[in-house]
Amino acid sequence: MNEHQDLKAIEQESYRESIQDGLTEFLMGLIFLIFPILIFKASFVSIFVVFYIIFMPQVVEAFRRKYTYPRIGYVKLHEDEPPRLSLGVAMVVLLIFVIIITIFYALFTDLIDRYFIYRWIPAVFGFIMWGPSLYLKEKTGQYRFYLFGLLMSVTGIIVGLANFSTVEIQGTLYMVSWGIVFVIIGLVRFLLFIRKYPVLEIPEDDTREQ
Amino acid sequence: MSSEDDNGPLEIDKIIHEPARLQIMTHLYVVEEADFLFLMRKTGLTWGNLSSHMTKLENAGYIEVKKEFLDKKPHTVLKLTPVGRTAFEEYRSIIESVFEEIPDNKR
Repeated sequence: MNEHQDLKAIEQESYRESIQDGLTEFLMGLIFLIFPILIFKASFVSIFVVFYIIFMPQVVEAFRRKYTYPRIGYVKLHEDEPPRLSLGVAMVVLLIFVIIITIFYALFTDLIDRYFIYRWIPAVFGFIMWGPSLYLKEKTGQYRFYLFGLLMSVTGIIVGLANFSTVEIQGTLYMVSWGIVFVIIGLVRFLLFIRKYPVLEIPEDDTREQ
Repeated sequence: MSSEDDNGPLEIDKIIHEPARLQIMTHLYVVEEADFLFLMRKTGLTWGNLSSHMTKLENAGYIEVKKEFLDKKPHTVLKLTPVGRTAFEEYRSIIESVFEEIPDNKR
């Protein structure tokens, strides 16, 4: 019996529905747009982290209360379950760990110069994005989220191989380009979402009296 | 199986066994909580039907109903209780065992 799979499919469908307002893509785009400032002006990191941790959840919730819940309803998914450690996830985590250690080792021992690091930041970032890619595939059940990790990795390598006048441009170009792409995807999805789902008024006042 | 003996009747939970309520329980089982509108959309039930089934499930202690206000409008949030979760899991295992007992007779 495939009952477990069916329940998983229902859970994945609920997750897909909860993110169809485009807000996830839009926020990801904004983070990518801010990233170049954080890389090259490290003093902004603390401001960003404070803003992200303190204000972002409230902003997201306020947005969804105003635009998402009145259209498709409110759903909160389980958060208490730890992510399943599959071989794929373990390999990705290991790869990221090795990359980070290698970069730090190379940087502090002057094995490779700083410009080399800057040059390959987009590619490393692209590979790191396999993390969210695999997570979203697991949560939604949609294979198209692999494409997101693949495209970000490939474009990261392409940008690293290209010749620019300064290495800072490479990272900035990569982040800003992907930022714009995600902001546009988010806005388009949001517009399609509000067109597809009008606000529904339901007479909930006396649901208990029925 | 919850029957008294091998030939005794199965004790299927009649509250969950009703198709609409089974749908509600299934959707609530896979999430932490959901509101009235979400369940209306997912189950295809009308407001009146959903409300009626919600009351039955609440009376059985299977779901918890929270009434709150969202932008000055009433908002009803439903959540499976631990009793409801256990009842649903028991229901699942009984139904599973029923299907397992059917011989595979493909023609």
